[in-house]
Amino acid sequence: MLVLVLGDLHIPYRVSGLPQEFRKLLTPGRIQHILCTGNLCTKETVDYLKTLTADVHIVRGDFDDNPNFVDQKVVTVGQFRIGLCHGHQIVPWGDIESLSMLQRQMDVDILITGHTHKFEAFERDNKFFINPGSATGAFNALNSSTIPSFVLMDIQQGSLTLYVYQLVNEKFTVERLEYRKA
Amino acid sequence: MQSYTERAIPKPQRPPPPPPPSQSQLLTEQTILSPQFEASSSSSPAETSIESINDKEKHHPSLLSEFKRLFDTFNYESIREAILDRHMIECSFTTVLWRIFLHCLPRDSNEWNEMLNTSRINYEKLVNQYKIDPYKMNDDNNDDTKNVNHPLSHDENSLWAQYFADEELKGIIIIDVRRTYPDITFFRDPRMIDLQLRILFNHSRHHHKTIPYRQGMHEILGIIVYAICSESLKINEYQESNELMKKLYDSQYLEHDAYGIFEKIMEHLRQFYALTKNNSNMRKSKSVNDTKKLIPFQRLNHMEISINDSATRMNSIFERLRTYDRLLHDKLQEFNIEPTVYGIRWLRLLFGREIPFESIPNLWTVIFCFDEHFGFVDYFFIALLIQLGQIIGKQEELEHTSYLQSLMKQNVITNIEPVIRKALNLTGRQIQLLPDEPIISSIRKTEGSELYSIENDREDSTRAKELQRIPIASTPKRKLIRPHIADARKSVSPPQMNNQMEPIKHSSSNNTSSSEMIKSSESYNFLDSEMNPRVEKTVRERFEDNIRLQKCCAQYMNKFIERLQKQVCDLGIPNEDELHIQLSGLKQIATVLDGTLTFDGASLQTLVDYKHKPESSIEENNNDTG
Repeated sequence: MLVLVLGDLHIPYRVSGLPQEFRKLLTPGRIQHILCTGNLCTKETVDYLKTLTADVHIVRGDFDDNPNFVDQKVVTVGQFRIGLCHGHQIVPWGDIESLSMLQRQMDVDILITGHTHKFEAFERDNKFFINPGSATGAFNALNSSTIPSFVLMDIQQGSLTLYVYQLVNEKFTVERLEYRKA
Repeated sequence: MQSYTERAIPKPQRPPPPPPPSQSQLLTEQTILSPQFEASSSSSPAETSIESINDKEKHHPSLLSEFKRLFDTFNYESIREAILDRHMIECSFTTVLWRIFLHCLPRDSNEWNEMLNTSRINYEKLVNQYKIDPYKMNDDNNDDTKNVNHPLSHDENSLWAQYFADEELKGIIIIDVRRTYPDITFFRDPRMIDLQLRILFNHSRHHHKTIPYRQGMHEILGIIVYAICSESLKINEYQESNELMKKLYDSQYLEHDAYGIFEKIMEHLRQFYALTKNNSNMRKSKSVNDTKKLIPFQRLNHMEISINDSATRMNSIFERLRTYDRLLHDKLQEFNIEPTVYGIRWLRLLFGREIPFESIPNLWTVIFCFDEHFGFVDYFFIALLIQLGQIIGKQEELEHTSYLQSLMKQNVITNIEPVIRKALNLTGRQIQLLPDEPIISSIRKTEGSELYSIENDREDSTRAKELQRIPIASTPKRKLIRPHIADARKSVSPPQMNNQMEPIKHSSSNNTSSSEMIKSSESYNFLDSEMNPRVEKTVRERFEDNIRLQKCCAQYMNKFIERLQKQVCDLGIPNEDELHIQLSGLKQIATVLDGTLTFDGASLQTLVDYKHKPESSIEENNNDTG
C-alpha cells in the first residue's frame, strides 16, 4: 500500500507550483492515500491532490486558507497508527523531545509533522518520526534555501519502506529507508 | 446420477430439476440428441460402426473403448474424413481431437506423455516469468541512489511500472471474465474466474506485441475451459480410465492444457482481432501504396474504406455469397449492410454467439480439422448467412433496420447440423443434406429462440395453417405430437383449444392420445434445451396447460359417457347394471381428471372388482334396492 506524505507547499503565496520533476512522478492510479502536513494553501492544491487519489487527509497549517481543517489527525494504515500534525503548534519547532511528547500524547507508531521545511526521518523509542519537508521548496522563516522533498511510504504488514524524493540540481533523487514495527 | 466429491475442479451445485447445463449434462445431452440427427439424416451405407458405438454410449459409456479405438493408432485421415462426412458428430474426447488438429499434440499417442510434460512445464515457466513481486527486488538492491527502484518510477525497466501496468491489464481482463456466459454457473465459480484471468493475462503478456488482449478472447477461452473441465470431470470419474486418459485430463494441469489450445487458436484468430487502421486519411486521398491493398471492383462505401485484414476477408466472403445466393447478396447490398457489421462478431468469437452453446464444440472440431488456416470459417460464414437469410425471408416486414437487427440477433439458429452440412457442401464435399422441413420446424419448436417470439406476434390462424402444413404421414409420431404441444403451451384462451383439438383428432386415437401426449411432453421436457433462461416460466406454463388439457379430456369423456349411458338405457339389455357400474367408474375418472374429485384408488379398485363377480354384484344390487 502506497501512501504519499507531503506538505508545506505554500502555493501560490511563496511558490507558483510543484516542480516539474515531481509533477511527472505523481500520476493517479498508483497511490492509495495522501497525508498532507498542511500549508497548501488554497483549494486548487487540495483539488489537485484529490485527482491523485480519493483518500486525502489534511491537517491545518498556519497559512492555510481553509480554517476548517483539523489540527491533528490519526490515521490507521495496515498495522500502523499514523499521527499527523502541522508542527507550528510545537515549540520549539522541530524539537525532538517535544515531538516525542506529542507522539506519546497521540499514541501513534509514526508521527508526521512539517513546518520546518526540512526533511527528517528517524527512529526514537521504537517509534518513527517523519518530516517530509516542503514539496515545493518554499522558503522558511528561519531558512531561505530549502530542498524540495516529499516522502512515499510503502506499508506492508508490519514493515514500512520509506522512499524519499528530493530535488537536487534539477534532478530528483530517491533514497530508501526501512522501518520495522517492534 | 453424479456423486459430488470435493475436487480441484469445481462442480456447479445445482438443484435437481431443472438443472442448468452442468459439466456432465453437456455430454449426456449430446449423446441423446445425436441419435435424432442420425435418424433424420438419410442413412449412409457403410459407416455404422462409429454410429453404433455412439448409440451404445447412450446406454453404456465405454469411454475406454472409444479412446482406444480413436487414439491407439491415430489414423488422422480417416478420422478427419469421418468428421467431415458427418459420420462422427459427437466425441467424448473433443478437446484431445482439438489438440491434435491444432498441433498441440503429435499424432502418435506414444509421444503424448513427453509432449504434455514439456508444454506444462513451459506454461509454469511462463507464469513465473510474468509474476512480478516488486518487493523481491528490494532485497537484491544496493543503496545506490540512482538505481533505486521506486514505486513512482515511469522508467520502462522499472519493476514497479511493470507491476502497475500488469494490475491495470488484469483489471480490464477481469471485467470481461466476470461477464462470460452469465447464465452458466460454472463460470461464476471464483476458481474458474481466477484460472481464466491467469490464462488471459499470461497470454496477453507473452504476446503483447502481436496479440494484445481484446474483448472477445474471454469467450473463446470460456468455451475451451468449459469443454476441458467437463470432459475431465467425466474421465476422472470413469473407473476404467487408463493412464493416458488420466494424464491427458489431469485436473492439476487443466490450466496449462487450456492455455495451449487457446494459444494455438489465437494464432489463427489474430487477424480478426487486429486494430482497424485509421481510416480518416483515406477519405482525403488515395496514396499509391494504398491502392495496392484495394481489391479491384470492391464496393466502396462512401463513408470509409477499411483496409485491415478482417474487413477484406469479410468482403471477399461476401463476394462469394453472390455465387451461392444471389438474391440475398443483392438484398444485403441494397440495404447497404456491410458484412463487417455482423461478421466481426461471428469471426472474433468463432460463431460462439450465433449457435447454441452445446453445439459450439462440434462446430469447432470441424473448423480445426478442415485445414490449417481455418478455411472452413469462410464456408460456414456463407452457409450461416444463407440460413439466416432464409429465416428472415419468412418474416413479413423487411425494412433495413429490422433486417439488420435480425441479422445481429444472437442464438437464432438452434440446430446447426444442417448448416454445417450445407457449408461442407459448399466446400465441394458430397454430404447428404438434411431435408429442409426439420430445420424450420425445429426452430419453431424450441422455446428460447428469438424466432419463436417473432412468430407469436402473428395471427393464430396462420399458426394453425402452418401446423396442418406439416406432413403427418412421413414424420414419426413423436415429432408430430411435439409441435402440437408447443402450441398447446402457448395458447391461453379457450377458443384456441378448439382450434387445437382438430389436429389432435387427426391423429389416430383420441382418448389414449391424451396419456401419450402427457408422456411425450414429459420426454420433451427432458430433451428441452437447458440453456433456456426462462425454464421456470415454461414449467409452470406446461403444468397449467396440462391441467387445461386434463379438463378438456374430462369434458369430452363426460360427453361420451353420457351418450353411452343413453344408448345403454335405450337398448335395454339384461346386464345393464354391470354396464352402468363400468360407466360410473369411467365417470369417476372423468371427474378426477376434471379436478373436482380427488383420486380415490380404493373406490375405483372396488368398482373394477365388481366386474369379476357379476352374479354376486347383481345380487347385492338387488339386495340394496330391495
